[in-house]
Formats: sequence, C-alpha cells, structure tokens
Amino acid sequence: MNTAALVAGGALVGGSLLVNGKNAMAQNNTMAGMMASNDWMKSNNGMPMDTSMNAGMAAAVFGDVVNFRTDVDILNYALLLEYLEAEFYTRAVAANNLMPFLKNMTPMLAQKLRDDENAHVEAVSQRIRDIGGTPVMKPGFTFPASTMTSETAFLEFSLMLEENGVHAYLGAAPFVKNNAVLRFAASIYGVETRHTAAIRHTTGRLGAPDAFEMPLSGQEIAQRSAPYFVMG
Amino acid sequence: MSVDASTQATVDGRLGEQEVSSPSRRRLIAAGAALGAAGLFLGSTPLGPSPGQADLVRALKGVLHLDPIVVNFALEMEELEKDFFTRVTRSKIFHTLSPREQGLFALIAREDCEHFDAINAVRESRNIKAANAFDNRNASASRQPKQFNFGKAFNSREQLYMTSLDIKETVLGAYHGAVDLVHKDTLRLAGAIAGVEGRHVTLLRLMNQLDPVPSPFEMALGAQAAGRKLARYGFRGGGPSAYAS
Repeated sequence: MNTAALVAGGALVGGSLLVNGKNAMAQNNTMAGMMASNDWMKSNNGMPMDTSMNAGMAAAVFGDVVNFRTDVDILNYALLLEYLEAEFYTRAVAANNLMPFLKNMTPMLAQKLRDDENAHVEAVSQRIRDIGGTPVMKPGFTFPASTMTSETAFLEFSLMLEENGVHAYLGAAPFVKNNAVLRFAASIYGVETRHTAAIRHTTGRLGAPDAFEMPLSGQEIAQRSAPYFVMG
Repeated sequence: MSVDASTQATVDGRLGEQEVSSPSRRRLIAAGAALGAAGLFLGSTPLGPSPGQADLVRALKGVLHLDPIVVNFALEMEELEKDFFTRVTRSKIFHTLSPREQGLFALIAREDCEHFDAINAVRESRNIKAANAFDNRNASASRQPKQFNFGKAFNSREQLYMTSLDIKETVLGAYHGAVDLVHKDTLRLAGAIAGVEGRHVTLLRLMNQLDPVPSPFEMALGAQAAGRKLARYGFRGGGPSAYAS
C-alpha cells in the first residue's frame, strides 16, 4: 500500500485513510477477500463461515458497541475482543499442559500471550469502571478443536486473533473522545502489534509485511469474530 | 541538541506565519505557541505536571494546534531511522549477518522510507513548512537531507543491535507519547506507522534473543525525553536548525 502517494494526493480526509481512492474502513470486502483466500480461513477447521449467520451472531454479541458512540462503547468492544483472546490462550495453554502439542519456544509464547491478554482484560474492565461505565459480561466461546492439538492450527488461529485486534484498535482510534482513554487504548494496540510480529516470526513469515497497519470497522471485526462466541 | 520549549515555540511561531498575516495575531499565536510548548514540556517532566500545570496544559491543548510541531518532530525521527537503517544495509557488518537478519534490516530500511514519505506528504499537503530557513526562503518543496551521526554503530553486531534498538524503542515511545497531540485527521496514519514501529522493535528483540514483549502495555515517552535520547545521533526535534545545512 503506497500510503505516501495517496496522502500526497489529498487522500487523507476526515480522519479516514483512503486506499486506492476508497476509504480503508470501507475496504472490508478487500480485506475479507484476503482473509478468505487464506488457507486457514478456507478450511476454517470445521467452523461455520456462513456470513449471514456471522452477522446475526455479531449483532447478538457486540450489539451497538460497534457504532463507537461513546468511549464506554469502544472500551466494551475492545473488552469483548480481549475476552476472546484471553480465553483462547488460557484454554490452549491448559490443553498443552495436559497433552503437549506446542514445541520449542511456542509454549513460552503461548503463556506470554495468555498473560498479556488477561492483563488487558483486567485493565480494560477497570478503565470502563473508571469512566463510569459497566464492563460487558464475559460471553461463552468456542474454538476449532484442532487449535488445541496442532501447533500449526494454534499459531494460525492466534495470528488471526491478533491481527483482528490490531485492525480493531486502529479502526476505533479516531472515534475515541477522551485523551486518557486514547493513550490507554494505544498502549494495548502497540502490544497487539508486537504479538502479531512475534507470531509471524515464529511461523517463518515476514514479521512486518506492510509499512502501515490496516484499520477495520467495528462491524467487520464483529463479523470476523462472531463464529467464536457462544450465546446463552 | 535536544528539543527545548523555546525551539518548539519558534517552530510553531513560524508555522503560524503561513496562515496568519496580521502581525498582532502572529505575535499572539507565537506567544500561544510558547505557552503550548511549555505545556508540552511540563507534561513530560518525570513527576508529571502539578494540578495547576495540568489545567494549564489541558487548556492550552484545547486552544492551540500542536500538530505541526508533532508532524515535523515525527518527520525528523523517520528521517533518522531511514538514514540509519539504509546505512546498515550498505555497511560491511551487514554482510556478516545471517540471511534472515539481512532481510529484516532491509525490510526495516524500506518501511522507514515509506514512513518518511507518508509523513512528508502530510506535511506538504497541509502546507506545514519545514523548519529550514533556506527551504522556506526559496519556497522550495525539497528539504536539505539531514546528516546524522551513528558513531561506532556499524563496528560490530552487538553495537549494531544496541543502536538499532535504542533508536527504534525511542521512536516507538515517542509515537505513543504524542498520541493525544496528533490531529484526528492524522491519527490513523500515525497509528498505522506506530504499529509497524512496534513490529520492528519486536523483530529486532527476537533476533537478539530478547523478550519480544517485555510488558503487556506499550510505554510512552515524552517529546523532551525522546529528543534528548535521540540527540546523540544529531536529532534536533524538527526545530528551526534541524535541517540546516
């Protein structure tokens, strides 16, 4: 993505990064296409990829918070994603302790990810209370079985979660009203980018394949995450 | 030379000249800029501002647009990074590194060039003047390339990584320290760059067998502290003499 040329062409408008003449927030189809072309997402390890079902689940889980009307909304949106990440790593580490499937340095990485994401859950919940809001309840989750038995599946799923987190924080940033909340969210966003790079490095990929992170809208992130939430 | 309040104030005073022709308004803006820069300074002292100072900083941030200072500051940081990592790829020590390390340094050099170009494009699109008297007098779109000094950074692998991490971690901290000073129009671009800076730090740390994520929260660094740390390489914080030939 040659952002420099786009910015020079007056493409940075109204807080939105324009990419190839389109708002990056509206570029979800392209990003979705990229994700869909990924082998992981193609097979999806048996998880449903029906988009209408995802949309329904996304609406049920995330509700209005994806509209970013208030800072509490934005923090609750972040909290749902942090719950998802924390729960996944907690289960994966527990599964690996019972029947090891992670090799070399991956168990240490998994523990680091688990600890960081649980710290994020605590911190985001506290920040919501600090600004007078109520943290959303932790929902239920379901993860592809292979992510608890196969290192490759674990790493690929981790990467998808972390990249979603990066896109989500960056997409929400311009909607944050309170500067203290913005600084706080940025401090978590930065660590999500580190996680992404560490996982990519572990899988032998380029750690920073693009010069610029990509923002995504709340609706897009909610749809992508929906298959892993369980209601009721 | 590190960034100081008077330097920043002068920069903003000069930037104010572009948009405001009235001498009295110009003086007012320059005075406001001085106070704003002082606010920047107060906000970055180790103990933090006193309640009274915090009120002043908050009020000044509300009335004063600090973004041009931040843009020039970020531009010089990216120029420093671009210069350093490009020189790494041309150094003798580069050829002693493993292929994966070479690939990483080449990637960082390329991406820092893109960051520099992106911020420069923002600067030009918003008609923010470079803090360079020669360029401004001649209404030139080009800038004198800045000369940085990296000492013995290219003498050994150890020194190479030490300097790389010093620069990258300082720049990353500076981006996080400036997050609430960035204009909303530029915030997403700044965030998009800061995220990749975080990836670079992580990858350099991994290559050097260091914990890639030493804390669950990214640390922020005030402009004063970042400027002081980078001054050893010739960084001047985007101030008036930053691009002097």
